[in-house]
Amino acid sequence: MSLVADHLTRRFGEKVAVDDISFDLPAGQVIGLLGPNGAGKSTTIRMAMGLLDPDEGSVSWDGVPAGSLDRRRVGYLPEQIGVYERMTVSAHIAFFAELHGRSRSDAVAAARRWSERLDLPTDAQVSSLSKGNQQRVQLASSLSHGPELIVLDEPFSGLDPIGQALVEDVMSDLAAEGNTLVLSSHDLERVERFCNYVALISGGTLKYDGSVEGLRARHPALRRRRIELAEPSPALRDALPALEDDDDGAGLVLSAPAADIESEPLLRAALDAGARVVGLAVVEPTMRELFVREVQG
Amino acid sequence: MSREGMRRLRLIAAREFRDRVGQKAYRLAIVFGMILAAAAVVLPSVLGGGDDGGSGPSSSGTVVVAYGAEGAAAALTVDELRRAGDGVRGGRIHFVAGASADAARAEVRKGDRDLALVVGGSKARPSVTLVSRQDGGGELADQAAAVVDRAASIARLASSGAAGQQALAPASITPEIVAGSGPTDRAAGVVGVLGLLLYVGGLLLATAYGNGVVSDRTNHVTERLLTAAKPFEHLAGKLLGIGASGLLQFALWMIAAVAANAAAGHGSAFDGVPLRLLVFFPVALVLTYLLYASLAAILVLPVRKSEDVGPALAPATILQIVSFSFGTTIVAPGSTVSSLVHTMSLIPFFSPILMLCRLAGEAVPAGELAVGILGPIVVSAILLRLVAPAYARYAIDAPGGKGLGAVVAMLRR
Repeated sequence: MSLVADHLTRRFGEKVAVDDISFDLPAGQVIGLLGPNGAGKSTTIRMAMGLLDPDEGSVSWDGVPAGSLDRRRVGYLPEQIGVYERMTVSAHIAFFAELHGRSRSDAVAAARRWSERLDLPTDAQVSSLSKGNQQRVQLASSLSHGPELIVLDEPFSGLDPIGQALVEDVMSDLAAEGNTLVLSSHDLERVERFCNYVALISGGTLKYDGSVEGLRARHPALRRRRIELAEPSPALRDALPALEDDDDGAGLVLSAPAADIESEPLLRAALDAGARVVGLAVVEPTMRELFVREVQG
Repeated sequence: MSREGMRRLRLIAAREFRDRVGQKAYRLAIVFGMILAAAAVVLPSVLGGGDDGGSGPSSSGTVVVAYGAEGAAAALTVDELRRAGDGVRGGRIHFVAGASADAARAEVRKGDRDLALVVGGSKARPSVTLVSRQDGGGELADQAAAVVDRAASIARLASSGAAGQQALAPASITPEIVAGSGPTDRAAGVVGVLGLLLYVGGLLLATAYGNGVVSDRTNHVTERLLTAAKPFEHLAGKLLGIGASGLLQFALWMIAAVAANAAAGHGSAFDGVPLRLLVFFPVALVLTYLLYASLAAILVLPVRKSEDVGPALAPATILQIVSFSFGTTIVAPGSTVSSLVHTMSLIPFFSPILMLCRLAGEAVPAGELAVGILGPIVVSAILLRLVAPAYARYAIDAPGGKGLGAVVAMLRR
């Protein structure tokens, strides 16, 4: 299911949370929704889920307005944990599966399957679980009905490393099955690992939407040519002052913007300076670097 | 609503019901409530030390004596009845002389007198019509009949000695029931208690509903729930689930009270109370809850904290107090239903309690009763339909501003 936003605007009092955003996110992809705190990501997601009405513009999935989405096809994990604490884990998961259209027997089976998958104690009361496990219950409740469009707002929030690994596994499987995943997260390394498409929002406006490669292509200055030495070489630093330390002052890994120096001159300068070269490569900017550049300009 | 929507509504209602019934506080409230209800029925008679000779308070009262035809006064005089009454065990009957048979009937109809005796016949064989209201007069009527018999026997013996078979013939007593213009003493008492229960029960359940709606929002469950169910389904499901659990609680309390009454060996506490009144009470409780809970759904829209639910529900409380106050004007014995109260009893927010009060004293026409029942159901459904979009909108974000500002912002949207 493709997600199309058309001049989407939402205000809260005087504050404009989302300001005239338009994008067209493709179906069957893992889409990263990025942005600093207060950028308008959650507001955009809520409008996309039909939970908030836009003040202006519209949002639709495969041409269907967000408010009319078939609830059986959608799975949504909100940013904040919202669970019925007095229910047992299995009853909680089954309740939401049924609410999304599954039969009672299907829902019970799904609850058992997802409890095992996310390593949850089936009969425990939700209130007795840690925040991290409550987040797992919420995730299981969002996925137990087998949605094909999955929107996860900060799914790793509050999870320990084991929980994060479990959720990563689940997400990988969901992506492999061809579902459309929209992932909002501050964890840029994970976004980089999972997402093949990103939408970057800052200050309520859309800074970029497209492939990760496309985002990199927008910032050629962030590509670096990196040379790795067997031992520090002050002579090379003197010959090429543009080189910067990439290893906290050890002087073994040096780099400069790829656009400023080609590989051959760099290698020649190193040999002329008597340095023992271990490696030479062009390093693409990380998602973090791209993010900072897009947000801060 | 679609079949799938109905299914979601049922699921939400069932979850709410199980959630509340599973709480320790709920079960404790049932147990304590049952004990209190039973105690409220049994304790007054236990502490009061029982009665003398088995007659209860309903065997006391005022009886007006009138004469059906000229000369009938000689058959049984008021003084003879008073003297005979002194010798009958049981409650005290105060006999007063009435102006005429019609006037006596009118006094009974209005509730000014408990019974009327219209005396006719002769000294040798008095015939008495025992006039009571629609409840038949209960124990007081039995007591009065015994007094009449005794008075007739005394009078015959005194006047003729042993005057043969004719003198031993008992007085002829014919019962006559007149339609009252207001509730009987017993019905008035019962409707007072039921009205109070309606007021308290409606308020408690509506507050529970308001709290439930706000707590789903503050616990962030609503955001998740609204991607699975429509706002109306959520609101209505919650309304039914909480209502069912509250009504179950009430039903158990009532059963405890009735069982305690029976176990204590009292006569029915509802003797002389029209059946229609007792049948309508649970209906009125449901209607009151539906109305005030759906009103609560609107009133708690700007509320972000559970502790603010009570103050937010003040308008609903005021409405209930107003209807209860108007209700009290028509529950006194002999009182009549003014045109204002009559009209108000057809208006949904007042109808449950005012219809209950009207039923204590009169048989309400079926059409009016239907309006009184259907009106609150329709209004409740409309209110929930109206509030659902706003509820969804503010389920996640505050409408902006505080107090009146929040309401204005909400209305502007």
